[in-house]
Amino acid sequence: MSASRFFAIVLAVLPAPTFAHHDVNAAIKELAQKIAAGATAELHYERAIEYRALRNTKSAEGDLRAALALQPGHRESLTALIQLLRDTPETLELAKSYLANAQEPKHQLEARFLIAQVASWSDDDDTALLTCDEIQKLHPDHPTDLDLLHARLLLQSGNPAKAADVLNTARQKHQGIVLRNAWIDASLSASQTTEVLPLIEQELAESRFRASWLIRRARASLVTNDPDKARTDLHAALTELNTRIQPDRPDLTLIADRGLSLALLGSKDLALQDLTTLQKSTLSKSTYAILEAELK
Amino acid sequence: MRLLILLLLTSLSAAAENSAFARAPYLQMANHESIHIVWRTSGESTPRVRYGKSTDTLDSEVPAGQILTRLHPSVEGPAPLFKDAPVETHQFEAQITGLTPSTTYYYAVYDGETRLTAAQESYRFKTNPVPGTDTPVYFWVVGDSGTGGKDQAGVHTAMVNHNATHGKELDLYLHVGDMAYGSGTNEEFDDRFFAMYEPTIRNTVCWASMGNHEGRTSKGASGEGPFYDAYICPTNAEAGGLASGKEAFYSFDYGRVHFICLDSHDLDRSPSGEMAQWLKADLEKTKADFLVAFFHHPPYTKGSHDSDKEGQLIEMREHIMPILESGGVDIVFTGHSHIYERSMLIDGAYHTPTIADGVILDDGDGDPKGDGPYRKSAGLTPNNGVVQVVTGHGGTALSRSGTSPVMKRIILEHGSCLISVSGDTLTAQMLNIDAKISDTFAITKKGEVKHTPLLNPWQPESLKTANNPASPKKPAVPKDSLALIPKSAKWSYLGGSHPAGEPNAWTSPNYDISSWSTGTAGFGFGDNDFTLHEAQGNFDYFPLDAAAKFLKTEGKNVIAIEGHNANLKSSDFTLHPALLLKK
Repeated sequence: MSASRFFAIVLAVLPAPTFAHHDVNAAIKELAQKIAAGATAELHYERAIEYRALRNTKSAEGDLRAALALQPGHRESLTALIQLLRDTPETLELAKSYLANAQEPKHQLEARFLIAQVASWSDDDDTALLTCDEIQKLHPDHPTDLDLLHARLLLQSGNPAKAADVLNTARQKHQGIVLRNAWIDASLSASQTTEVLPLIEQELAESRFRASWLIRRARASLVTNDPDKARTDLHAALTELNTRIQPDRPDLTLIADRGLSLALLGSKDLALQDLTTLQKSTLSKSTYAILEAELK
Repeated sequence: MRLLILLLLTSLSAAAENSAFARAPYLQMANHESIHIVWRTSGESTPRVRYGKSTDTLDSEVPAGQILTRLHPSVEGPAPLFKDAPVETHQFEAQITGLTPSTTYYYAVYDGETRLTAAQESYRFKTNPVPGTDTPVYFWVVGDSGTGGKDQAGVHTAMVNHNATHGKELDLYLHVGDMAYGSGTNEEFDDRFFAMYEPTIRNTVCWASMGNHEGRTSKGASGEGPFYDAYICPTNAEAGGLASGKEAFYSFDYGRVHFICLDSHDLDRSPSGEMAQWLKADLEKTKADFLVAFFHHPPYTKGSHDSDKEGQLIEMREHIMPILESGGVDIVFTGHSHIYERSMLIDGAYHTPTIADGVILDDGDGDPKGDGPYRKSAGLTPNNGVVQVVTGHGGTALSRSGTSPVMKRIILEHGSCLISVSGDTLTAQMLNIDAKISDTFAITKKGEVKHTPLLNPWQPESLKTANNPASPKKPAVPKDSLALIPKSAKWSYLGGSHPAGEPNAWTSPNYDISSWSTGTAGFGFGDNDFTLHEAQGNFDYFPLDAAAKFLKTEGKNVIAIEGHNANLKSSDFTLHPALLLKK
């Protein structure tokens, strides 16, 4: 075998060159060259994702609109644009148009979920709730995120019993602990303690940090008219939380727990301080919804 | 020429050994009494797995009901594969149960009566220890490797050779994402992950987090795509921790170590999101002594990506790190940025852009042979310090764009990380592609340790200075200043031993120093070079602007200084302080 022939065989089995971009700006530059050579919806979408990574929402929006102009049914660009624009007046119409054109059930589910999300972002809770109900009926195999959103909307609309029902049904089908804990919280809001109290006690026995479970047991004690027990648990929760809250740069989820403990103890002014901290942060309302409800 | 021929023959030999497989057998989700063996064939097969405690005695067989067969979506069957797998693909997932903890087993895969795997010791697995038991663990961490190229192969070979040389065996393998460039397709997984790591993953479970490149074809919310076909991840706390309900994020236990995997790519990273809520609950529950988190997008980096500018990185820092740190996390492994960066011991560094002020708890190198290990309290203590490791140097091209102020080591070399946890100490090493250790640090957890954030911590060289070491950057001593404490002033001092009492008690203004010696600066030992330093003006200047707020305008102020020698064998040491007031 001659040397030149041998090398030809070796080269043939080497892997093809790989595209692994090394920084976002380099990727944007490369995509710009490709777009200049021949724009496609996919290329504009890919560049939009890079712009989004840099939090350059204006350029990302421009590319997503360019993608949709080239290919109006480009699903990835449509969903990315809806998520980027969030609560602007246009997004609900975009989500509805996606639904109108969706053929496959999984795309119809995605479109309806987007409508529910957009409506909730825009505080149009009626539309969001109606859409969630519709998804529960039409798409029984929906993702758990929908159940969590549905329950949150029901809690906000003052229907904790139905929220607990939705979450209870969902947790029978899915294994995640978030669903179960949300069901426990919704049940407590609906003054239902029988089923959840044994679970709370079990978690208290097994957990390293117990504050969130002490707060839940205190909520149950308040339902069952045992304020002394509730007070004991809330003080214990506060003691633990104070060892975990970094004073200068706290974990805000713990501030939500502390605020709720204080509110349930009747320290409304201090609880309000924590609520104000949370409202000024970038946290979404659902993180402190129970605290907010308690202070109303 | 002879060398090239030899390499080609070796490659063909390995291929022939596994020619029966479209994807050779590899281990997946394990706990102390069960494990999964996964493999693929092109076309039908009658899957059987036999196993036992010696290579000669494979006296047990996985019941047929515990082997799941997954097929292309165009073919009717359970749990269809992603559509880009070849139509004839058969993926088999055999779960072996009823195993003894901490025990080595050997296995073989069959098609009916035909043995497909060679009779080699390397087809083995070791079950995990019972969660909570005091068992050492040794694991490998790799990121951004999936090129299928020579650098990826070199990094893998370096690890294999290092372990062979030192008589070590991996207990597990963490991959922090980007294991199959460019889009994590079925074919890219075959070539750039499975073929590359086959000798390792046949006997070591790889626990993976999804990178952005796999995210082009796989989706965390639905758990669909080639990534989720490749890995069996816990959804129902099968290996410890709490049930996440999604393969995209999960936890598992190994002995006294709790591992947490997050999806930083395509799931909600906000504190109200499902992943953060699960994380908070999981951290509340674990009673492990060490806590290791891993995900793709680094909260701190100035490598090929910039954590001050990119959304996913900023959100992981601002939203997820506070939850991890209030839960007592010890170490975080990430990738995405094609570099090795390793932080000092830090806490609460959530600002954007990242700053060093008030977030560095220990600015030493953490090296047991250098400044000594980072110290933390025993068990998991909130906000007691974490080390961040960006290990995106597993195979793809490297680059650096700047300097993150929390980093202690910034190294542009291909490599990977080898971690051991034994007793009260976690030791981490960066093994480069040449099988040399480029960085070592340790975290020792003993007693109660209270840290005070450093006011003027050590800072890494800027990129410009690092590229031009001839001009090191030092802050200039202000020309117009007043010496509040002049040189050669009288000080109370203690040399050669630790102050009595709690670790940081001596920094308190009321600390009793009556037993300390009193003398005139400078202090030290060795070649009595105070005069030389004086003549050369060879002093370091540490601006204390941030300390001004602590000065009392009435009463007594105390300044406390702690000096360390660079190493124990040094011939001299000099500490000659002065305190200047800028006019």
